[in-house]
Amino acid sequence: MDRESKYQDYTVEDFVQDDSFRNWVVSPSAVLNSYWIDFQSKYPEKKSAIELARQIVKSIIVIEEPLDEIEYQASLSFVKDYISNKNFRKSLVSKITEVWSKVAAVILIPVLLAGIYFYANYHFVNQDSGNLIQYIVPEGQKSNLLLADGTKVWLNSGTTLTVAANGYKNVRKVVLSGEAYFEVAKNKSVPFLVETKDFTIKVYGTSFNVSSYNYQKTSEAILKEGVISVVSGSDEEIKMVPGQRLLLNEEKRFNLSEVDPSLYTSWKDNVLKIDNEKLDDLIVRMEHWYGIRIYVDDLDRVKDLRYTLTIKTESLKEMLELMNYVVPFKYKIDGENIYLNYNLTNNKPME
Amino acid sequence: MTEHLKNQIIWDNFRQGSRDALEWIYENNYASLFQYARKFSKDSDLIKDLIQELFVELIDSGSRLSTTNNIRFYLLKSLRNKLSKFFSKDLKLLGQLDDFTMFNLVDSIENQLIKEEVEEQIQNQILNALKKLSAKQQEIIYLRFYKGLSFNEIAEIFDVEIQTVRNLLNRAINSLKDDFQKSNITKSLIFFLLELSV
Repeated sequence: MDRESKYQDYTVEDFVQDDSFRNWVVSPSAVLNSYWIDFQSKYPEKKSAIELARQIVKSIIVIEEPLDEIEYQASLSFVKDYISNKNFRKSLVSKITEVWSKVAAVILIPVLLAGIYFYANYHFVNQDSGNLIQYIVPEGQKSNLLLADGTKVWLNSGTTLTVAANGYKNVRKVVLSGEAYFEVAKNKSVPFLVETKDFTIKVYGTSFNVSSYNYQKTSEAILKEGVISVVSGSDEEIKMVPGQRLLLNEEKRFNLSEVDPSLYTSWKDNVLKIDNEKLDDLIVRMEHWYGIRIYVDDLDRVKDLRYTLTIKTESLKEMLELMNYVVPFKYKIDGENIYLNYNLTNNKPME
Repeated sequence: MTEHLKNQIIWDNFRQGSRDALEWIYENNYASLFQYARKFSKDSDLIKDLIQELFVELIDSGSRLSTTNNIRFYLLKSLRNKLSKFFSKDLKLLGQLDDFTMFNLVDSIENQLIKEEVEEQIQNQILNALKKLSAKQQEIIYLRFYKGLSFNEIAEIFDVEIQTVRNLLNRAINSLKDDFQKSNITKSLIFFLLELSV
């Protein structure tokens, strides 16, 4: 018999790996029993190998826990609904409806801004991956939102925040590109993670500000209250205490300093606080704040001018007037382009 | 119709958005996926979420999915990728790496020994022998003997040579053999082994 001649040369390892041998050990039947008893009386030299192989097989029998039928049915009907919906949604219009039904748990509070209702663009990161929602705040605008877990998020100008629509139960995670202020709802058993291009922030129920624009070489986090820790790509983990600012500089090195958090978080209350900032830094912040481009004549000469201002208004003109009061200059507003000229000795009017 | 052909047809229907195909796939694989993932994590809520999310992704990918004639293998492999991505990224940050990433077969075996009312001393001898096996060896034993995957498929999951998988399994069996030979387990085991007079 072929099978028998095969088994004659079998070692312990071979028997363990043989499907029908294991089948006999795990669920013996009368037929299998008589076959193996026969075999052993014919080849008594195989007896000890078979015995050992049997013990090995017997000692790796796995018991699987039974499935929870109710939860299985719930999961099945979820995916069945999902595939039906996917087949149904064909046009862009129905796709948008789909998004809305998915974000029912996320309430959005539009912010009144410069007399116009802020208009946010909602759409999927990838329309085919249905379980992520991306919030995009255009330049010059701001928004805030309440996540399903109760966490409040303020989004600054030019920011994109990606959140999972259904969310893991074990991790709350958002991906940020831009600037945002978080008031994270306390939930000790479910940590909150903010991922940016440079680092990830692990949150223990707390308020903090993160700024990490894709086009900026530096990223920073400012902690107002609570505890956070910042983890970079190199697995370096830095714990922060309130009042600290963590700056990741252009060489991707961390620099921790003590600051007044309100200077960095005031934007969420529509207040722009400038504390002894150089003109060229101020210009970058104003460009974000108002969503404009600022061009300064002979910038090198005036870039080190320092400003300390608190602006509560949203009007660009008032801001410029205030700056003009500190150090006089001429300005011209041409749509989104603003031209500044500090060279007052030159009396030629700006073109 | 061969099993492979049947798998291929059902999978193609699923890629075209067939609800019936999805239902068949779910019914025939959910338990397997769940049990496999449970060897990585005790958190069954998390596993349910991840399996559901895997299916949402598969449905979304639709016709862009590659074809397969072994749905079980395809799903186990996809779920494992998902698990490893999830654990390596998020859990590393949370400092929970140790509890989660290791494939653990020993717990399931221990439950079986308890159910069989194996003597405690023998139980310990068996468990100690099993604990000497690496997580990868335990996973190979499970995939080969309990999920019926081929060496080829297991090698693809681990992204290693087929021979590497064979060697790991052989070494695992050898290690158990050595341990059982050394201890008196051979004799005492007979009580709990088959009620079969050989």
